[in-house]
Amino acid sequence: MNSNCSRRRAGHLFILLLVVSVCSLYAQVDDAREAIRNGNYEHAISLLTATLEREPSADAFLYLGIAYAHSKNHERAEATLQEGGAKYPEDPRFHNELAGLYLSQNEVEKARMSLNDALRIGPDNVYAIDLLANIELALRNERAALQTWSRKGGPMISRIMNDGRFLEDSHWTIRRAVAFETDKTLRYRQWRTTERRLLEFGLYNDARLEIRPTPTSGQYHANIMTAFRKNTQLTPNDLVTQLLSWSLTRTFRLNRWDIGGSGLTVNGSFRPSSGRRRGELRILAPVPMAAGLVVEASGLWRAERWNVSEIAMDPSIAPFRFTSTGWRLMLKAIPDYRVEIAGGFEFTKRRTSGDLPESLANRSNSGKLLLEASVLLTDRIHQSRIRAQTFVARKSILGDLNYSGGTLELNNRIPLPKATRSTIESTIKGGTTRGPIPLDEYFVLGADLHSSNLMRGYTAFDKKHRYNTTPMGTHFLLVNTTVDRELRDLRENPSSFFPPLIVKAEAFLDGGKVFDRTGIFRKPELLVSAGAGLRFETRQHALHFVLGRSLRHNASFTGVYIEKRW
Amino acid sequence: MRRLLFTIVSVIATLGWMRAAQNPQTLRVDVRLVNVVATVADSKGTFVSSLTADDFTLYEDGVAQKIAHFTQDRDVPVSVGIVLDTSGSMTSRIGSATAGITRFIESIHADDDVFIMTFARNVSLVQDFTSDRRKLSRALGSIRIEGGTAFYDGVRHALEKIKEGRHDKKAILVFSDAMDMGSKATLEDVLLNVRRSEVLVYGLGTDQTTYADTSEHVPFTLPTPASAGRGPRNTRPAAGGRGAVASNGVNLKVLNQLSTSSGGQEFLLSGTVMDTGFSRIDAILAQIADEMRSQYTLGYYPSAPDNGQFHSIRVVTRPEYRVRTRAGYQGRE
Repeated sequence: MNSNCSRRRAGHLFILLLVVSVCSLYAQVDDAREAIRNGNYEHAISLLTATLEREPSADAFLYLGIAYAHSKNHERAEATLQEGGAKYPEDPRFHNELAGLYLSQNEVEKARMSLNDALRIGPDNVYAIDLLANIELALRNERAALQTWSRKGGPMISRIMNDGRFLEDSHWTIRRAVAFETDKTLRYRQWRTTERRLLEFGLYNDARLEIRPTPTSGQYHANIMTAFRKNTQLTPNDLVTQLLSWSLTRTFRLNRWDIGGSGLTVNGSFRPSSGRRRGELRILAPVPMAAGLVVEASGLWRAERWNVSEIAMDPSIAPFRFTSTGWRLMLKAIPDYRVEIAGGFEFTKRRTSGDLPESLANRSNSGKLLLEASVLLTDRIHQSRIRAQTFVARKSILGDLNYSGGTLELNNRIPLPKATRSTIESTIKGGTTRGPIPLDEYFVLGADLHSSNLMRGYTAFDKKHRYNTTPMGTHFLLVNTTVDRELRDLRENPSSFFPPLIVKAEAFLDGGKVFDRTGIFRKPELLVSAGAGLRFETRQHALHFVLGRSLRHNASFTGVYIEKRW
Repeated sequence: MRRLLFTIVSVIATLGWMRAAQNPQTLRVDVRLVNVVATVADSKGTFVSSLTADDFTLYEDGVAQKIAHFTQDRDVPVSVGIVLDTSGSMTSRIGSATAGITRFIESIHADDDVFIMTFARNVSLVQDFTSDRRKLSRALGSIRIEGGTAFYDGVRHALEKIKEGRHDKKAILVFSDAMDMGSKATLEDVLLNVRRSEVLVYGLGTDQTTYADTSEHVPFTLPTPASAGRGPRNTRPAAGGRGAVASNGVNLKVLNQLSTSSGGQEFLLSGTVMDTGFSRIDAILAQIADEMRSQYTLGYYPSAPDNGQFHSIRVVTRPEYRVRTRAGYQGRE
């Protein structure tokens, strides 16, 4: 009886000791966590090392790894977390913390793999899903990020914010651009539409998305990060920018963005070059309606000396002067990021002076209707777009001429294997006209600051800065192929002064042919040019410095051109 | 008889005055009133605002001084300068900072006049002194990110600007990582200006946003498109603990020097992506607003003449309370 009683007591004592020792081990892990919180990592490491020697546990391994990481002993941290992961294969936390460790070492690919390991163990692991998605978002892979969140039906948007402020406190153009709603899941298409509209408004250098968790599981804040454009003022920095612009393009520029908070933008430029004097004024006004409506009013004044003797059938055509003044009003809508529609009216008054063939002279005014549409056909790894522009000029609408025409182009962008950081871009474009077209409506294949039909071995002006030494015609066919390789990504910390920028090297091959039904310009022949250069890409535009050479003629182009990105 | 007496007194008085005018005696009175703002808290950090002048003893250079002027600042309006770093490093924090400041401005005394200044490459006065909350809120909404961090220039300009404030009590709140780049002023210039002024400087160190609570997770920041292309960093074991420049890229040492020189305080605004809102910044700004209304201003005329040197100040009160004041002031002669 007594021996039974003493055995029972001993048993109770053993259980009590066991509970006390387990509690004390837990207390030691808690103490270690407190030490980490207070920055006393060495103390945390010694506590956890002692705990592991006596009674290994998942928590002890985990916090030891975290303490090593804090004390910047990354090798020990990695080894401890890997050992913990191997001993407790059902615990995804080790893979989550390994991902953090790899990120702290800038090993993004390894971090992705660790998080995918965590998700294999626990497909609903919120930390892993959020972190993996946030990595993709930080790397500006919005599609991958939103796809990752969609694994658990997210992200469900609780509040929409702009630069950390509530949306109601932000600029009205941002409120108008937003194509997603609260209490609904944010889809990639909706974000891209928002982004596309914001950039089209012309006020922002950049638009990015941040998704931040809220205390309610599955609910997130969507934060739209914007970088407003800086107004040109007479500060030393602006003067440097003006000088840079002048040295590259021989053009003075004046920009006023968001005048008085109205969203209105005015861009003015003037090129004083005697042979090709040009003044341009553009007013861009976002419309406070849905679908990202923008009204663009622009005026263009040209006073140029032309010399077409090299490209005309009759080489005796003497140089002549051409002046024009034109006004254009366009309305553009972006109902979806894949679709852009624009329509408007353009009036141009022209004057030529000099000894010119009848077919090129005496055409003073034209009033024409314009219609443009662009559709993104595919937007996955391979991107392609189709774009059409048509115009109709009629005597009945303020003109002296009846003519029409249009262009159709197909753009493709195919990335090469990731390690090469290279892309192939190709454009196939054709254009046609009907009726007696004025001189400046002829299609020109060549390169100039804002060329629409790129043939990068032919310059649009001669050494005396006279137009036009490049092939011209009433119809054309053009193929551009460019291979680029990323040299430097400068998208970190975009500001109102410096837009996010990627620097690329590029090599190109262009082929084209122009046809002239009026018989003024040379008979069609295949034009081929090749070259290389540097490209500076912002979100909306690309500035190219190229050296191109014609493979058929003694012609070349060395200079700068700007193209709008798609 | 009465007329004679009056004449004699007048003559004596006139002679006395003439004598005094011929042999002037130099009587120098030191009228330097030195004001010291004292923040008193108990052991739990709760502000104590119920003390009287008798509860304080004030020492200048170790010598006890007679307190000539004493106020408890509960209803005393303050001139406040908000100085905001708008450099690129603030890109992801500027929104939460301006939102927090907006709420701070709405919560402070109605008569407080406030100016807002920003600095990046250059210093800009975004909003001059005003009590109009709408103007201030609008000015905060117009703040944009720029390049450069002219931190010392920003603080020096703010110290000049705050002199124009309507109220005797003045405070500057500086939001920055304090990692100066390209200032004309130096830290010594700024510290000298702080010691010569009677302005409280509160430094709010804004760090790089980490992903989650770093006491529970391995610390890291999210990659950027540019950093992701650079490949792995070199690993180098290092000792733990917190240095002068925290691992999160805030120069807390500088913020601490500015704050302790003025009687203010420095804070670290550690942000994480996993933060649910702006609770941390709101809590700190609420603490500062509360602190400014719980302080005491002690004025004294120094017993020793000013020799142009730095004079240390120490204020003591009941032993159960802690007192925070500026470390001293810079003499002018």
